[in-house]
This record gives sequence, C-alpha cells and structure tokens, in this order.
Amino acid sequence: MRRFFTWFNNIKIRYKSKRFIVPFIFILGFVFFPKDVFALDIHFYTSDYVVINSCYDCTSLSAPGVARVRFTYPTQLFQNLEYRFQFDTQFHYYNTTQLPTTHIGLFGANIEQNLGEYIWKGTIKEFPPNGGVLRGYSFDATWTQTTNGNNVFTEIYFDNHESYDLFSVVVDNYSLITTGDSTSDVIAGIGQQIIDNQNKNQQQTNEKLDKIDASINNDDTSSAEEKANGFFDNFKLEDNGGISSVVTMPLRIIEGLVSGSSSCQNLSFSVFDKDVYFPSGCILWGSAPDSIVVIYQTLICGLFGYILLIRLFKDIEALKNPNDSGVSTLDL
Amino acid sequence: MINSILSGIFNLIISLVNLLLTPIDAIINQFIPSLSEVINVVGNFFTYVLGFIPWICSWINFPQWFITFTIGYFTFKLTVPLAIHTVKVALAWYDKVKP
Repeated sequence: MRRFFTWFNNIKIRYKSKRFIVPFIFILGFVFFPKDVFALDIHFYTSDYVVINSCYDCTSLSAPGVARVRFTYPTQLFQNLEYRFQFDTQFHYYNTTQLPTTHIGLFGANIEQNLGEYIWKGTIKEFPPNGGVLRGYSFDATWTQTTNGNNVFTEIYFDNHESYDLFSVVVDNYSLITTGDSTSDVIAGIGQQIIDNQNKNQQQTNEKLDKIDASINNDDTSSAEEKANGFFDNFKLEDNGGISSVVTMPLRIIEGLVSGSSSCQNLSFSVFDKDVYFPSGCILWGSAPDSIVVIYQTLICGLFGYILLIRLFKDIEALKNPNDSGVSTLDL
Repeated sequence: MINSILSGIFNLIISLVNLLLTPIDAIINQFIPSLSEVINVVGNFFTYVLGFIPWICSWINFPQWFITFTIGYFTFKLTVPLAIHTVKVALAWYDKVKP
C-alpha cells in the first residue's frame, strides 16, 4: 500500500483537474464490476479538526519537526459500519515552499479493532518548480485513536525525526468514509427479501389453486366429446390384411355403424368381371317427406327398442342375482 | 357422448388386435405365402358379406341413436357380466385362500 501511495505521489499530473481521477476510477469500476459498484453504499462524513501543533518554522518550537492534528467523530458513526479515514495532507517547508500532497488513510472493520496507536511511515519528495536538486524527506505519521464512549478521537503526529529540515502540515481534505449498510439494515434487507420470496411463492400457489378450483367448478362439457374423439385419433386403423383383417372386420363394421360413416355408403363389387352397384337407402328416404320418415322411425324403433329394453332389464336382474354366475358370450 | 365412447372403444380394440397380429401376419406372408392368400380371400369374403349390414340398415332407415343404442346394449351384455363374473371368481379365490 505504501508503494502504491508513493507511486501515486510520484505521478506528475500536468492537468489541474486531479479530482477527475476518482470519477475515472469509478467509471472503470462500473465498466468492469458494475454490480459491485452499485452495491457499495458510501457515506461521507466530515468533521472539524484542530491543528494542535504545527509550524512553519519549527526551530522555534519546543518539539521541532512535529505537527499534530486531532479529529473528533461521534462514536455512533462507527457502529456496525466498515469505515476508513482518508486524508490529503500537504507538507510545507519552514520557508513555506509547498511540497507535494501525500495521501494517507486508516482502514478498519469497526472502531473497537482500531483503538490504539499505529505508525505509518511515508516519504515525500520535493519537486522544485524551477528545477534544482530533487530532495526527499522521510517522516512517520503516528495515529492514536481513542474513544470516550461518545466520541472517537484520532490524533496524528507527523514527525520528521527532528532533522530541523522542517516542515509543517496542512490537512486539506479529510473525511470518514463508511461503506456498506449497517448490520441492522442488512438483516432487515435479508428479511424483506425472504418475505418478498415468500409472497411470490404464495401468489404462485394461489394462482394454481385458483386454476384447480375453476377446473373443479367448471361444468361446461361442450369440449368433452371433441377431446374424447381426439384421444383415439392416433390409433392406426388401416386394414393390413391377413388374420388381423379377418378378426377386426366385424369390429370395423360395428365401428362404422356407430360412427355413422357407413350409413349412406353404396354397395358395389364385381361379379364375373362386371361391376355390380347397389345404391344405399338414403336415395329413397332422402326424398321421402319428413313426416312419413318420423312416423316410420317411431314405429320401427319403438318396437325393437321395447324388445331391447325388456332384455336389458332381464340382464340386469340376472346380474343382481348372487347365485347366477353365468357369462354371456357371442357365438360367431 | 355414448356414441364417442363406443367408437373409441372399438378403435382401441382394433388397434390392439392389429398390433398383436401384425407380426404373425408378416411371418405367414414371409414363409407360407399360399396360406396368406387364403386368409386374404377369407377376409375379402367377410368384407363383402358384412358390407351388406350398413347397406341394409340404410334401407331400413334406422336412426343413428337407435343403432348406437342397439350396439351399446350388446356391448353391455357381453362385457359387464364378464367383468362381474371375474370379480366374483377373484372373491371366491380370496375366500378359499384366506386363513
């Protein structure tokens, strides 16, 4: 990390708009990791700080080469949040010649884990604007982080080891960045997600139950006959000849009678190389008056129908007899 | 509805018979072709003879519902007693086997 900061500080940015680096990095993150970028909920907090000890001419101070800055944050900002401190710090010569800005930060999962003292060693280099000798300065940045329950105090000591090659410190940008949601928000989000999934599953179950209920209560049988006929559509009924043709011929005749497909078929066959043609009865009955057809069918069907019903009742009576175990057969 | 059920039952039986007897017909046609020709002649005879039934029905002018009722009656008479007799036989066997 320190190498990164060093490398970062050594970059000569000729453009004045150094602040464009952060949006540029964000755009890169959006391009490569869009989901992660939008999942990161960043909160910025700023706080006043107090420069306890700083100097432009530190030779006059009792502790030369030391600058101290203290930040104060409310403790509640740290609860259940990941956070990091971020500072852009300017160092100055005692003669106010400005040195490059250096960037330092402190990262932590929560405030309890970062109480104490931390030392961050850094190096800054001077880039004289009008040329000259490149000079580097090493220093230690010591973080002391304490809390009194209500507030968190962060003090930073910048020490150049009393080299009297003095500097002062000005903290330009300072912020406390918390990332992510609080634990309670995360739990609430997960709970809401579970509830949403449960509601979605319940809605799908209700829709299926509604369909079943509608199917049970639907007494419309208009399509039942069509479906019943469609069930047998794929059966192969062609006459293949041979034994199967002999066996199935009576069934074919009966099926033709039931379906009505052979009710008006003419009978034609050849006898001694001559075609014999017998027209069906539909020629006669089709031209007869409807009243005569109805009277005729009533008489003929009434007679045969009565005989069949009598036999049907006798057969049912025979079935009800427990001592009758006879089985009717059709003698072909 | 009854008409459709009866027609479907007969279609089903015809399909099953074709399925079962087609291999046998193929074997006879392959190895005993003369017998196959005799069987075909018998089949044509039945076709001629039974073909008169719907023709006669057309001249008698039975309505379609009466034909369906008649065939349904004979279907009932030839199938339901057989099913009931089968159940009775199964119950009788169970009574004898029952400890």
